[in-house]
Amino acid sequence: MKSFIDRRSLVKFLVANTALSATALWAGSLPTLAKTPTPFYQKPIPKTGLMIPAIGMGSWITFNVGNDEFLRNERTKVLKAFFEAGGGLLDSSPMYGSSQEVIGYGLQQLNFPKGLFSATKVWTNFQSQGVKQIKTAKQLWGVKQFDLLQIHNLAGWEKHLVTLTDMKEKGRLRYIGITTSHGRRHDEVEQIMKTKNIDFVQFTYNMHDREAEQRLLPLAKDKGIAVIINRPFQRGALISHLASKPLPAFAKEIDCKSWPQFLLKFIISHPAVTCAIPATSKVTHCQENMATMHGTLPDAKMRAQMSAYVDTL
Amino acid sequence: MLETVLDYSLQDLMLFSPEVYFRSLALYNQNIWPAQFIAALTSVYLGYLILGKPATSHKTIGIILALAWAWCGLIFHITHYSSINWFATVYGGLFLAQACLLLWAVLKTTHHSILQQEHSLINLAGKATVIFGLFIYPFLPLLTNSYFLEGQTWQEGQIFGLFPAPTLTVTIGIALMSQNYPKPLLIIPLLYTFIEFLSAYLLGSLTSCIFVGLIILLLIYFAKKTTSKNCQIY
Repeated sequence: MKSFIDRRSLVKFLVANTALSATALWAGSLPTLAKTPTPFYQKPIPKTGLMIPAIGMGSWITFNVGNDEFLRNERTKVLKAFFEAGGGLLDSSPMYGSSQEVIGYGLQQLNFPKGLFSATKVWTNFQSQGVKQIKTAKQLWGVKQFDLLQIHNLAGWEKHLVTLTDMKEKGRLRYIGITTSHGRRHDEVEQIMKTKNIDFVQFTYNMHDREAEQRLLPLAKDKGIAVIINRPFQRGALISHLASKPLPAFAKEIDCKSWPQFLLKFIISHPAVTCAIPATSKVTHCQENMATMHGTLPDAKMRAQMSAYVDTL
Repeated sequence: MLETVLDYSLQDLMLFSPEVYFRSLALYNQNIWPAQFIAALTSVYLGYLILGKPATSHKTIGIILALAWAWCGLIFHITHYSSINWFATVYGGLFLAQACLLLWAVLKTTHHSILQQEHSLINLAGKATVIFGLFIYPFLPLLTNSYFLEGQTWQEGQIFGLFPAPTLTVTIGIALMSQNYPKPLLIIPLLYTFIEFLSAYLLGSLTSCIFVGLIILLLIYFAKKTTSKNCQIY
C-alpha cells in the first residue's frame, strides 16, 4: 500500500465531481442522474480526462441467460437500475456465453441510455477471428462502435493489438485495453503496460487479492493507464465469508451500510483505480453497489483501518 | 481455442448460474412439448425390450439408442444448450458421433445378441441402472426438491431420449448388461459422464454423485472385461 488519497486530494476530488455531476445534469448527458444525490464519484480516464462513474458493471455469469425471455427481462431491469443510478461502464466478453446478446436486448429495451460506456473484449488466439468477434459483438450489442475493446486474458495479444490500434487510428474505437483476472500472468501484463500504448488495463483487486497493489496499480498510475477492477467480491466468496460478521462501527464514517459497499469503497478509493465492475443479477444488489458512489470516500488512514479489520475476520 | 481455455480454472468455465441452468431445462421441456409423450412411450417400450426380451431385441435397442443420442446431440446440445454454453456445440458433435457408432454397431452385429440374462452383480447393476435412467431419472426433481437441488421443479424433469443425462445412464446400464458390448462405444459415454459430473459438481448439485456412481460402474466393467470375459461375480 504505497499511495492513497490524502484528505486534501479527497476534498478536491469531491468538489470536482460534484461540479462535474452538476454539469452533466445541466447538459443532459446523464438524464437519469437527477434521481441520485450528489456527490457522485466519477474518475478520469488518464489519457483523455474523460470522467466515468467509479462503479461499472460486469456481466460474467449474471447476463448469460440464453433465450430465457423472463430472465432477459429481469436482467433488463438490472440494467435500468444501473443507468438510473448513473452507471456508465458496462463490460462483457465473447467468452461469457449469451451475455453480449442479453446486454444488447436490454439496451434496446432501454433505448440505449446516453450514459453507456460500452466495453467488451476479443477472446481468441487468432487475429482474423478477433476481427469477426468485434463485428459480431457490435451486432449483439446494437452499437456502431465500442468505447473500449480489451484483449481478454492476453489471448493472442500481439496480433489483436495491431487490429485495435488500427481501429483506434481510424476513429472506429475510443480506447484499447488488456485484461487478466485472479492474478494470472501479472508479469506479462506489467511488460505490456510498460512497453505498449494502451489506455486501459483490467485485473482482479479486492480486500483479499491485493497483489496488484505492489506493482500493477502504481505502474498504471505512473503510465497514465486507466484501471478497471474485476471480481471485487471474489466472485461472491468475500461477501459469503463476511456476511455473518458485523460491519465495523467506523463504516458509518464512510457511509457504508453493507459489506458490498464497504468492499467497493475500499477499491474505488485507491487513487490508481478508475472503475470497479461488480456483476449482479439482482436489482437490489445493483442499487446497493451503485450507492457506493455517494457519501464519503475513505482516505489512506481509513483504508488501512478497513483492511486491518477485514484481516482479523 | 484449446490453449485459450486451458488458461482457466474449472470454476472459470462454469458460464452460468444454477438458476439459469435449471430454468433452461424447464424451458427446453416447454419448447419440445409434446415430445415428452413419445419419449415416455419409448422409455416403456425400451424397458420392456431390455428387461423382458434382451436376447432378441439388440438391433431395435441399438437403433433407439442411436436415435436418442442423435436427438440429444442435435436438439438439446446444438440447438438449445449452446445458447448458454459454447461447449455444447462440441458435446453435440460427440453425441452425433456416438449415434453413428451405435448405428454402425447395429449393422455390424449379426450373429448374436449383445445383451445377456446372466446372474452376475454387474448384470444386476446394469438392470438397476437402466431402470433408474428410464423410470426414476425423470422424477428426480420431485424426489430431490428442497432436499438437495434447491429450486428444482417437475418442469425440469429429464426424460430418456430427450436429455443427455438419462440417455447416458441407460446406455451405460445396457453396456453393463451386455457380454460383448464394443469398447469403442463406451469412450464417449465415459468422457461425457465425467463432463456431467464436473458440471453437476460445479453447480453444487448432488446429482454429481450419480455420475460418480456411473464412472465407478464403468471402471468395474472395464476391469472385469479385462481380467476375464466370462467371469461371473456370483
